[in-house]
Amino acid sequence: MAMMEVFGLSLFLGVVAGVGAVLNTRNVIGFLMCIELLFAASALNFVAFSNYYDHLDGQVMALLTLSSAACESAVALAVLIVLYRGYSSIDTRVLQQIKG
Amino acid sequence: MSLLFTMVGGVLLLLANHVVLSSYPVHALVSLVASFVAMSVLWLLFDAEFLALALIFVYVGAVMTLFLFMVMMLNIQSYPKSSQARPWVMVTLVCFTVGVPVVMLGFKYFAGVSYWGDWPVLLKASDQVSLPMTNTEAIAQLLYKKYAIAFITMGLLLLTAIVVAVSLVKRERRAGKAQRISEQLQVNPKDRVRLVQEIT
Repeated sequence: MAMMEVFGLSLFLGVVAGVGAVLNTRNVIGFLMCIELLFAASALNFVAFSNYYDHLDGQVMALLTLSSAACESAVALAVLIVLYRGYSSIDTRVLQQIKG
Repeated sequence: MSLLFTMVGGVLLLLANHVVLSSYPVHALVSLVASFVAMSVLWLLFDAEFLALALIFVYVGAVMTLFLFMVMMLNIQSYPKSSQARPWVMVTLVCFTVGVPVVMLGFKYFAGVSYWGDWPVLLKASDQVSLPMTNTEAIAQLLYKKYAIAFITMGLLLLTAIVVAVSLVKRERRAGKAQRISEQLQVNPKDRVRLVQEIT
């Protein structure tokens, strides 16, 4: 198993997540799930580097990435609840009503 | 080992595609959970035992459960048809993200032609001797000494996230007959007693 295959896996996972974020811009939950996938792809990259260099710093960084992803999803879901309370919908286009 | 990595990686990519392209949020969330389990297996291959389990405990057990609670609370059955991707987009995404790695791996293993040349190999077997400490202890040695400030900052970030989430979501007024002590103490006598007629 070569290094580049692991990078390729992380890359293609990130591509899926990025394209998914574009496809799912209309609904908030799908978008948040794609962001989670993106975090996971970057953490995979960190862990792979940590294994290659026999150095645990990468694993520590992956742990910190995990916890910041958890913080981000908690706040994003709180915003989703407020959005739903106001507009009874998870469509992001209702946010255009609060323009101006 | 390489075969296991290839299989788990392929499963991971397929599940990620299902997360992105599914029109039912619960299906997408279950696929996301399964993809995190696959990723945990991959991290076990990289000798990251603590992280693999932490992924299951924290990401799957807390974050994904939170997502599922949200989906259940908001009762989202499916995404509207107009917001779903066209079939050609779905097919292209799956073919590209699963097909291209498979083709490149096929070139590498069957034809010996590697697209990126010779790259170093992970999982050198000579590393697997009896280690002085477990992976958890080794991460703890780093996390609490060298990266102590980062660790404390992450704790502050989590605290901030708690405060932000609670303050965004809490409602102002309690419904029902509960007493609001602060309002009771702030009452002005002028609001309660009205002089109707002076008795002369």
